Amino acid sequence: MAEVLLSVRNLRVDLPGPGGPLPALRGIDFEIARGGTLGLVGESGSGKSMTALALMGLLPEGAKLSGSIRFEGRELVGLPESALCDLRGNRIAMTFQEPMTALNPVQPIGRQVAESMMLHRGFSRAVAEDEAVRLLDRVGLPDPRRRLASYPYQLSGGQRQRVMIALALGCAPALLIADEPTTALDATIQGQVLALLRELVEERGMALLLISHDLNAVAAAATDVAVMYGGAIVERGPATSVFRAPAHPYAKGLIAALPALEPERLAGAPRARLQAIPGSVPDLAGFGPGCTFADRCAWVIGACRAAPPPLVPVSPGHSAACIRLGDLS
Amino acid sequence: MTAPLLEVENLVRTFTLPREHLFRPPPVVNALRGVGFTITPGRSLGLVGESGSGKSTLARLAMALDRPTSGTVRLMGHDLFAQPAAKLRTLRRHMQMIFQDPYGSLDPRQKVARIVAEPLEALTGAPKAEREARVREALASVGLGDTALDRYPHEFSGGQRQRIATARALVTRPDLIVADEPVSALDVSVRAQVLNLLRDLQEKFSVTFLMISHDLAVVDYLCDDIVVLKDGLIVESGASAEILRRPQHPYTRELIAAATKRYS
Repeated sequence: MAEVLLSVRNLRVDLPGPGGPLPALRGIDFEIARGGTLGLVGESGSGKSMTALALMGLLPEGAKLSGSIRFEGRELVGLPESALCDLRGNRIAMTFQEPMTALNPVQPIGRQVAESMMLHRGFSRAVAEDEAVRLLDRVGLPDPRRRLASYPYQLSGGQRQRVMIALALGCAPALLIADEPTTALDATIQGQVLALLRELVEERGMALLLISHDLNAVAAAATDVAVMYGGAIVERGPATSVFRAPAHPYAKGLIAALPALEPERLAGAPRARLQAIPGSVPDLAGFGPGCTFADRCAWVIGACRAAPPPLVPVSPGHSAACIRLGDLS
Repeated sequence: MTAPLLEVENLVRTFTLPREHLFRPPPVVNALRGVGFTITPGRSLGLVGESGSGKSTLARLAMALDRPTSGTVRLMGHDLFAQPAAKLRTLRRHMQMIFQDPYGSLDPRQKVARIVAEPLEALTGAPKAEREARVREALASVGLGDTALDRYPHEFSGGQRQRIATARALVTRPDLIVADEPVSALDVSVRAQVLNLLRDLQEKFSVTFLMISHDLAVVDYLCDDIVVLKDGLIVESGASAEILRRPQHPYTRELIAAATKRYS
């Protein structure tokens, strides 16, 4: 059993709303081992990005954070901003969905990649630039020495995502949070970026928190998966187990609803009709006190709406938060 | 042999970019470099390709929203770029479009009744009572009731907005609907609803789609034929099942790999 790098317990985030605080995260638990990859799957409003922001100490103004985030043995909740600043970009780094808005548009990329190493690791400009070339080469940017002077707009979307990964790797973080790293990319480029992330995890012993709404992306890169809905983790476990035998009605529904080419279809079988999940994701104020999925669930009973269901084991390491698991299978 | 619905022939579209250098000619982009295909009624066609491949340029040309550098587009035998403006307007009732972004494509200041009726007002001189009946019928066919009529787009979720956009496209009872990435802006759990709706409409109203997407799985779900576009050229085309089973071009194989389920 690998050493636990990050342990999140009963993490809650409440956002200020017109009629009182709105729960954006409803007390979630997960952990990531050193060198492990956890995929956080969910759609808009599920709380996956809020989780990343809480880990980075970058929550929006007025957000209330409670619970525990233990990282490398240190409690991050309640840590002063100056201490968080030391961790951020140094031990924990993050990449964002749209690199065009996350990178500085008026600075050459070489300077942006070198800057964080000068800041956090005390490198001189020359040393930092050499290191930047090495990193850009590692993430697969062609002709990196010449590219140091390029501006973000001169690169393609895939290249920009690679630059952002290089930037995040600059300080050899123990944890990389990749928020929707493939969403803005073409289908064929997505696979290349995921393969790169997988290789980097392997060769650096870095842990990866991969956040995505794309089940295919998570299946391609993560060893463990947590499925989120409405600010709660509804199912988690080893990726193979969760994808092969989803237990929670939402996870089951999501996997059945996704248009994807099945092996049977590739062999010439006719297209099967998609199983749609009825309804749509409500906004934060629309969730009741019980199971967040209750309003869209075909198996809902009165007790589902009364209290949040606890995560119960379904197989080794795999659990789901549903009180009707026994009746589903 | 049925008459073709849409014939695209040797379509070329170049865009001239702003001059970068005072003494050099301005750079040009060849968005389409000679593209041709035919859609017959009842056989929806899917156009796949990465960003920059020319998909959206082609959609705009097929809808006569833009003029090609050379080449022709014929809708039910009529050359779209050789029609006087009045004739083009009457042809437009046969073709409608659904856009990618259900947030940006509906006027936020107009009620749903007016949004859905808009193509009718622009295209036909139908009396008010008939127009209203057509709007109700179109909304009902996408699963929205009369209560939607007096509401504004912001009161609806993304999936419902895409239903409103679909109702607007259906209201003229078109033969061809051009759908540009109709589900890519929607939540994953809602996509299946909209894809199933589009599939039902194919059967119920015998609408044929020209469907544009970067996702081969989405295109395959609704289309009988597939055209793969890369750098403004068609690299592969044929029946969907055949292309999936025996892809010829390496780029098509990459697209298939990207859209194939990695789990189950």
